[in-house]
Amino acid sequence: MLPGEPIPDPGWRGLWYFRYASMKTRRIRKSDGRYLILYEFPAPKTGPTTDVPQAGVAAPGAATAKVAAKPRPKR
Amino acid sequence: MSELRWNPLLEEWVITATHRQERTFHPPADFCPLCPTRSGAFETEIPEPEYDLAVFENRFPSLQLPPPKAAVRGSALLPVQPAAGLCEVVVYSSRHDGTLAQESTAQIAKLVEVWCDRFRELGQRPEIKYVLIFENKGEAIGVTLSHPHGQIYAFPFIPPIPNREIRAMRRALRQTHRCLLCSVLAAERRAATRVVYENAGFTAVVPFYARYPYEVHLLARRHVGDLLQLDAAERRQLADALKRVTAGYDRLFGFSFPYMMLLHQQPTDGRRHPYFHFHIEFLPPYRTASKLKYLAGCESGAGTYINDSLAEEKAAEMRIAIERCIVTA
Repeated sequence: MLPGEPIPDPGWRGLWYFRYASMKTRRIRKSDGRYLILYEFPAPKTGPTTDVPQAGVAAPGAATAKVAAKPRPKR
Repeated sequence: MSELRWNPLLEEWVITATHRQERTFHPPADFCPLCPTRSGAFETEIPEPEYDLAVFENRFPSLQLPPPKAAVRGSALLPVQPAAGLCEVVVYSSRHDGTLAQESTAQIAKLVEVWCDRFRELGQRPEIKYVLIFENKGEAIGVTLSHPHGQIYAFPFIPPIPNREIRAMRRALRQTHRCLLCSVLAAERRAATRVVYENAGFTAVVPFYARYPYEVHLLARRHVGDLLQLDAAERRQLADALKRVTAGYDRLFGFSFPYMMLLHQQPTDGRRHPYFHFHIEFLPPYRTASKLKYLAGCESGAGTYINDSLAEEKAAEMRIAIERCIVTA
């Protein structure tokens, strides 16, 4: 954000973000009642990867605009 | 037994957790509780023969849901609250021998995705007001398990340090109509003398106000309050910056450099904190290759740090160390 530029109000976005598309989770309840979550990812693709600096431009439809008004869930 | 005891002098909670005295302390590699469970061997915390990344509830939690019964009763003067919350362990890899610095950037990118998932899920819970993701690395920090892992504490209150940051950022916004950390970031980038690494999404600096000689702050270039506001490219850039900084630390003196890594994100208390700027702090205890910085009388008694080095000089050392690292994707 540039000096003087108004700060966007992101609101509460705890519910939404663009998740790694292929990430899978497997939840296991252990014998003593505690939970275990196993995260599984697809095999890495070939080609340029993460440490190539990319333009800091949000991907189309990125989380920033969509969820500003999302209320906090009540349970 | 575990509870929150209020310190009226400092106006902060102290967590008592006596059961943590029993926690696993430097087990031999054959009995590492964070390794996969091998056929015929004892069952570890992860009863699977292989895994990529794993998260589980800490067996010795400081905070629990539902919270345990308190050991004492509180009073109006000395309040006691239930130690309600969650403590998780995040295992970075099934490989026992390694560190975050030795993981590939791709593996660290997976870790960032896991952090996002945990922050989202824990932050949704109405009991949870603040989610602290962190890593203690190295025996100098007090780590009791060497398998590469980090932790998450989901607090029922906003802890004092984030609270002070929130107050400062909120005040700065009211007074200057600017984000405090955006202003700091702009000043650091203009000066450039304390910048140790930068990509399109993050800038790593030994900050002007460093308390530890090799303290590094990783500042999001864009004004975002937490991990969830990063887009996919920024999350990859975060992984790259984490790799560079941690590898740079190890390169600095040729040994695996201990540190505390702390993700400073906006609270999850259901309120809006648009002034909050996401950043990560690395606090390493070494001040030279062989000497530790202790939090002694002035730091512990007055809360004022004495840094016996210049941030500009330490940043130059870190910059060279990072440049000399060979980073694998």
